Amino acid sequence: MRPAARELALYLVAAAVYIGIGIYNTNFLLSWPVAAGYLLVVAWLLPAAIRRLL
Amino acid sequence: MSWAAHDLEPYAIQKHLGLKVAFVPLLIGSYSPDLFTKWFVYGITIFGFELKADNPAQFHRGWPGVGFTHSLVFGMFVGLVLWKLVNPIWGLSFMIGQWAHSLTDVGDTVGTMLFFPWTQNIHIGAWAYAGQTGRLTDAGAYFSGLGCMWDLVFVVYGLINWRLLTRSYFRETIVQADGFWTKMARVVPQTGLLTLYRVAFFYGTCRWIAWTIWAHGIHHYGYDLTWGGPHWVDAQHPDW
Repeated sequence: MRPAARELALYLVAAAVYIGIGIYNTNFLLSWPVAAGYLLVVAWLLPAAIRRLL
Repeated sequence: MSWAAHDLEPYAIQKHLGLKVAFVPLLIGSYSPDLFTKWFVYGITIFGFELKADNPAQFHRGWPGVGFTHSLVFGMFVGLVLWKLVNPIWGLSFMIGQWAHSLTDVGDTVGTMLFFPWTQNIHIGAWAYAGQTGRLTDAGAYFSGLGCMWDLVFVVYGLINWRLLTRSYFRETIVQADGFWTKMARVVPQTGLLTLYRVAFFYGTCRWIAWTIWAHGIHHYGYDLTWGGPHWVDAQHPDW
């Protein structure tokens, strides 16, 4: 899988999970800092940590 | 009021103005009218005490109240301060972002005091303002009327112009337009900064989808895309 496609897939999964949690608990949808923290962890920190471990 | 346009409009503005504007102050400007006031519109409970405006709509958009944050002069004033204290591009970008917010909110039934200190609210009444009904009813109403369609324009615009979100656009336009990113790059890797740049688009788009599913897939609020709708909610007007 090309890096750009892999990145897109990661964001789509992140979005699906965010939307799922948000529908279940709408408080999750109300905070910009929560969204920023979530995206930074899921799209940047977690993949970087996994790459470092492998 | 708008639930996603204020997150998404800065990307469209940046695309059109390119290196003439900086994204961070553009986004802060776009958020600024509601940044410190919205919590008091819906109310919060702290240690058993509920803090909420007696007249949420007047507090939010009117005078007396903090409605002046939705005026053109407020954007000019803060923009001038940033022009002097930071740099001209920050001042201009903040003002454009704040003006975009103030003009977008003219679309609902309360509108904004666009020409403050003249305290007349300018509104075209395309969708119902329902902030006074509480956050969830407001969400149900907003995502059933023309307001959510205005947001959808910017979701679709962003998806069509997906290159705005790419690493190369970030490097060649966003970073070049604003020294903020170069300073941040000393402590945060580029992938982290790129993710940060994408947050508002992610947030606005996901919120739009999630609230739409919540309003229509789970709670079955009725769509009413007529002018001023949805008419099943008691829309606020600037008649306080």
